Amino acid sequence: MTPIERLFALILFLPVAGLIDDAYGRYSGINWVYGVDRLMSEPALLESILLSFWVALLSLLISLFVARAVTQKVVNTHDSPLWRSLLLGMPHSALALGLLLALSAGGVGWRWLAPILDFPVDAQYLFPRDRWGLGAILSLGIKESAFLTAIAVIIAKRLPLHSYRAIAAQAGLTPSECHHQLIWPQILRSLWPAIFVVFVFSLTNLEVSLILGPDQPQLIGVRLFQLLIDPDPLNRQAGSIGLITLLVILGLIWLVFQILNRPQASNKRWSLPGLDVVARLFTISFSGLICMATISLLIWSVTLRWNVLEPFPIVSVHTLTSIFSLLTPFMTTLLVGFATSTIAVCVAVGILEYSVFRGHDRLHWVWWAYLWMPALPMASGFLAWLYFLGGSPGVWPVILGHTLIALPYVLIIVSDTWFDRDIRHEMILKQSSMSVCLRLFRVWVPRHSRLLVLAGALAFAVSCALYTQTVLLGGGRVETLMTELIVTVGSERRSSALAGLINLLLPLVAFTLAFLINQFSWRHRAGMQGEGYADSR
Amino acid sequence: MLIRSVVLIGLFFGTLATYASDWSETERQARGQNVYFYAWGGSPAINKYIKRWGAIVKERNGVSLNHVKVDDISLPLQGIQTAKRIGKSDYGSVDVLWINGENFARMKRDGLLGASFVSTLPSAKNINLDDPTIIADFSVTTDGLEAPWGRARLVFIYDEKRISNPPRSMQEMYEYAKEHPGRLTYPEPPNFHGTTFLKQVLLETTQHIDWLSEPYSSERFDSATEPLWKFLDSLHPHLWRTGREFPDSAEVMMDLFSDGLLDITLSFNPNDASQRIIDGRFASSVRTYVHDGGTIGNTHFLAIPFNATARAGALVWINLLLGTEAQADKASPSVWGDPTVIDVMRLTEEDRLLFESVDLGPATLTSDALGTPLSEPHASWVEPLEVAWKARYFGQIQ
Repeated sequence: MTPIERLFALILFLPVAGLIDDAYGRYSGINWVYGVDRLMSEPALLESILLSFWVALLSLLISLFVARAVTQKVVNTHDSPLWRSLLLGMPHSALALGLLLALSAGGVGWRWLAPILDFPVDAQYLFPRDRWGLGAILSLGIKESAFLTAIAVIIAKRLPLHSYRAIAAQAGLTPSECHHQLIWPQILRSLWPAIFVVFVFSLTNLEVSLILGPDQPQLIGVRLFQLLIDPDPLNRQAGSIGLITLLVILGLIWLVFQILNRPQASNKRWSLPGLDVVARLFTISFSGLICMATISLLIWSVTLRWNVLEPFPIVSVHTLTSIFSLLTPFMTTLLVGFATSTIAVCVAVGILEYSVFRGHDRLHWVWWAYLWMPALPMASGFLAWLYFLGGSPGVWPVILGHTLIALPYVLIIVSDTWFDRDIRHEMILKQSSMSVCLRLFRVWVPRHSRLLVLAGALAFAVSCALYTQTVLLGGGRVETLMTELIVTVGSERRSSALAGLINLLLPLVAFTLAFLINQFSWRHRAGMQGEGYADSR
Repeated sequence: MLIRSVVLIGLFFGTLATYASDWSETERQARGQNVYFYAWGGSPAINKYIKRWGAIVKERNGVSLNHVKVDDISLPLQGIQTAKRIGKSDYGSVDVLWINGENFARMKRDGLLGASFVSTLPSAKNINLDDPTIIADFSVTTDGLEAPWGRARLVFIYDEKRISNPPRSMQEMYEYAKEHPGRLTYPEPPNFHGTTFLKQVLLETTQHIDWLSEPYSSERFDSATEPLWKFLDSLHPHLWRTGREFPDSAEVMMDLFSDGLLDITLSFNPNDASQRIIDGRFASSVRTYVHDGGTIGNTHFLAIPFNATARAGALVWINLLLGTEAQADKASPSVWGDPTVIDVMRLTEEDRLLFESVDLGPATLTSDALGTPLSEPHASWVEPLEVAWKARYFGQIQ
């Protein structure tokens, strides 16, 4: 562990310390046993926990299944990464809201489908906020399959794919069998930190659970959040105890993941002809749902009213003038997002170069740990330390909080390529007597600029999607499109649809901009499009 | 006699002069201050109203108003509690709060409110501070610690094209639900409107209505609420989605009603339906009604926390909101439609005209039709009610 990694590990530990302090009852002055009693007296707590694990596990399995199939397609066809980036940048909550407005009874999708299927259009059914959490699983499955695919593709590019394919062909395996039998197990071995990120996020997220999660009882993340923000100190203490217990359970699950990740020899030959078809069906359905969610957001943002028995809504384009009320949150989102992505990319470059200098060739687990930590304890712990250090909530703490979440994403995206540099180039540069800084800014940053711009866009998208950090570290005063969206969810549908639509589009604009910048800046650099490792091919 | 009269007159004008100079001093201090106003941000109409009057207070008094939109006031409340706990009595992040009775009772109990201020506001002279719904909030005396801002009244909303004779009591509502399964529901407690619905059922069903105005007692709770649970147990299977899910808020219920998926919705603002008709969100045939035995009514308030950074600015902002112009503007359904707390009989004829000229819209009931409001149960009953509802219906999926 380098000193920088130790520092960041300490930063990660501080919120947990704050949480333990709160759970122990230093602030409430109540013995922790009463906090445990209060937590245990929560009705249907066990149902909440079981339901949350079910949602987390099933959405993880679906995401893995889709990622496995899509990765095969991407590594075989060198598909353009833009569409994956777009899906990756889409905020969870905006997508969840779009799905809610599309699929629930009275939603756009149902209004269109019901006459075709000959069902009553005013039928009442319990989806997507269903008792099995299928709505939340659907939304998480779509988003997390994009995340896992992105990481899996990065890992796959480091493997000697040509050799695998040649050997597989000689052994009489089809390209599909080669992927499932030889390549995917290799990817999976390195993918586990990302898998754990998906599991933790699915288990503890707030936004998707609030919008699409079941109601009675709610998922555990929502219930702990409600306890933590309750004005009653005993409830807050119970919430802290619940979160610490959750962290301990996550630690145990991490150990299980480690055991499952041990290399296992398998002679079983993958010959499931239907697997690729099912995966394709999944990806097509997911694409259709994303389109339907976006269209629903657009329709509801201009709809005055729409009786289910009427074929078309009564719309008013005039309602779009309320977009001006989102100007301040829009500007704040831009400011916070831009500052976050700039700082995150700069810090990531510094950390990576320092790691290279120290002879490392892999990203340390501490960066993944930032993504394993549920957002709520992290944000509330930072807030406690902010007060302790005499600070107060505001824009800068929000930017700091966003950066700490966005930084690991940037590191994960860039690290493999950064570490995978040709040793001969490094030696030549050292012999040229250029200083470390000069080498960094004249050679390594320009060579990786394409990926750095994309990572910056991803950091921007991450910042756009953060709610808990913004609301807690901003003291409620920092208004972003995400806070607007959450305030309007459960209130006026037209406003929430509009906020959701803009929230959905903003990261897409960032990715498109990144794509165009790369196209423009690399137009005369033929042969260097491979982000550094191009020359070694 | 003459001397006594002169002394009294002198004292009267002296007091007036002191009062005026005190307020001038407050206005002087307020100039240039940033006021952070924490208020629910889920309604574009209310947000617009606050924004417009925020610009006016800036122009008139030099106070910069920042509306911090919240979906749950618990979060800022927690910040105030933390400050109290660590003994930080100044530079708080909240200057003005829009709170309900439950949170007021909690803030008052925990000493989170500053000094009494309502009587120092020049605009308060037009408000009847002896009004029972202003003296007490959820049966807890306000003691000038929070300023009345608007009046609330539980009303039910229906479309006269769909229903000719809406149910006018909880018993009739149950009969209606049985005949029209899935067409009624209520917001999920502890949502404010959901809890209000529970309280309305409690008031209409309990045998011990007098207990409810007194602080909660666990011995009385079971016998007071037994008819409530019996009623809800029989009602739930006939509700929207067979009572397995409840809308998150009254706003979600409004959308379901507007979509034609519910027959009746509810609001705590008697002008709400008219405002939505004007806005185009409701059909023009939508109307409002109340139960024959009356419905819950109360007043909503603005409070200043003990550690407000801009207390003078907060006072100036509240004073402006309680002024005749702001209250008349707020009462108009085309703006917000929130009934005024001003006693219009105290106004000059010119000012009274401001209120009389407000078109309340087609769906607003007259004050005679609204009748006398039912008093809220004591604030201490709210949490046990919500906890009991959750314990009874959470995880009890059929």
